[in-house]
Amino acid sequence: MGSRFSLRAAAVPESLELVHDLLGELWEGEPGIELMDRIRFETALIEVASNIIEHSRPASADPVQFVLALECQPERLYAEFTDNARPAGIDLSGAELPDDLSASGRGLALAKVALDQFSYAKEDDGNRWTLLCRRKSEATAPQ
Amino acid sequence: MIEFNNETLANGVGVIRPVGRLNMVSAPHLGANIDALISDGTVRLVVDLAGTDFIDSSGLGALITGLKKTRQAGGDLRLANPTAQITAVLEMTNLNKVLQPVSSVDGAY
Repeated sequence: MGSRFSLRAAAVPESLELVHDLLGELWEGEPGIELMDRIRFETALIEVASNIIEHSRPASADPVQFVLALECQPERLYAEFTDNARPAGIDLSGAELPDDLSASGRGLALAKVALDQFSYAKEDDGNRWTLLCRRKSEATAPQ
Repeated sequence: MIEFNNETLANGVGVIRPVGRLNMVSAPHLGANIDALISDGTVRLVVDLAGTDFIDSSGLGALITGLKKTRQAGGDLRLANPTAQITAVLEMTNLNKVLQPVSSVDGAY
């Protein structure tokens, strides 16, 4: 059960379109996913991809690339980003929404609110983010 | 890609219509459109989001910056016709209080 999609892309702004396109393939292949689940998942994925694109620094002479793997199961949507950038050491517990009139600093906090589980891990050769959205439709559907 | 189809209404209200996705690539263009209208003396603005498929935190940042700039100039910035994703993002970030959307451009002022 379940379907998987993946891509490898350069950590450049143009790659955001590739993330939207991959999600488009997922929505097309799995037409039963509730709109709110799609919104939460896509919003969070774009925030994480944007963070990688904006803040990653190369760990070597190789340009930064990321791999995005998506998995759709009846009860959940799961995504994993891995990259070859210098380990960033991000503490997601500190990602809180800023003041209403703040113009920045909302990205990871928004992803955190949108998701049911969100993790970041610094690895020897890069960074790993995992994003999980429990599908409300399945979770609340009568058995 | 994003396009902006803007107009100024007879009552002097400036309407900005971003068509496409508002993200880290396109949010600066929204900011530039807002700045251009304020420079021309149009400080009561409506951002009509009917054609905006997606917004991220950069897009929200551009709207908040625009809100502050128009208010400093004696005007305001209001949102109209948000799509489902934008409504959800405004709620998730609690920005639906400061960027309270209205259902039509005509009803914005």
